[in-house]
Amino acid sequence: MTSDDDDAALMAEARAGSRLAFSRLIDRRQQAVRAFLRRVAADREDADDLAQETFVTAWARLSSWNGRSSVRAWLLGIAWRKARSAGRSLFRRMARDRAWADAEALRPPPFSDHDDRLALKAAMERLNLQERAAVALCLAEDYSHAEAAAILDLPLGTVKSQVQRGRAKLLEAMEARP
Amino acid sequence: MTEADDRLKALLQADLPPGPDARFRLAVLERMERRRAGVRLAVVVVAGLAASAGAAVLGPQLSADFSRTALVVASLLIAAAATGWGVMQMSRPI
Repeated sequence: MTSDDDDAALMAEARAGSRLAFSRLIDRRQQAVRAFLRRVAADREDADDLAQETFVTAWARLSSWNGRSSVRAWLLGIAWRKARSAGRSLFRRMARDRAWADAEALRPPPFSDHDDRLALKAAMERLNLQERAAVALCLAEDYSHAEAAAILDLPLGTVKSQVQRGRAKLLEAMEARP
Repeated sequence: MTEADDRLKALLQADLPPGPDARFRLAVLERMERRRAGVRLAVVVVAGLAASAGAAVLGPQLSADFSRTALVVASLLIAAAATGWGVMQMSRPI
């Protein structure tokens, strides 16, 4: 039995009203949902708040999973719609963080993995929401462009160009570091 | 895939949340419960208002002493208090 089959079995039980099955589904998939949202949202608290809302919505709309996509992809689709709805407030906070990051960039550049991660975070925040989501799915999680297009509900060509643009911007930002 | 892409991917994957996280699961279940309580409360409030409105219309026809205004005011106060309590429950931090 594959991991997707296990998810489907849990979904069937959850649809029959089993909160225990849904709890197990949360345990199995919370990491993927939270990781995706952490890459898309401004900070961890926002990301985890959206992740919790994602599962609450999933519970309320269990019947909307049609079995054509994996449960994981279906959850990420809900997470994406939550992030998109929250976009305005996320962007406001990101603008504040960016101003801080720009001020920090004037300081002598440090040399460590931790600082690389901070630099990447700042570079991610400069991407638009769609670019961030496409990068998070295709570059960080190895989703195909077609799968990402289905999750994000965007045309395939748009996702390809968002990934390409996002990757180029991130690489440029990383290469600009000594 | 270039070395730079590998580095980029490693950095993107660096900040992963933990595996099964009981606190996260409990927070979700609590939100689900609170949402359900909110829906139940809304049903109770609407049913209460409907019953009050029905009584306000039918009451005076059954008894001349029946005060329609007093009944409506009382039911509105009860509904407002119940709604306030519900909002407080819903907005309580997890």
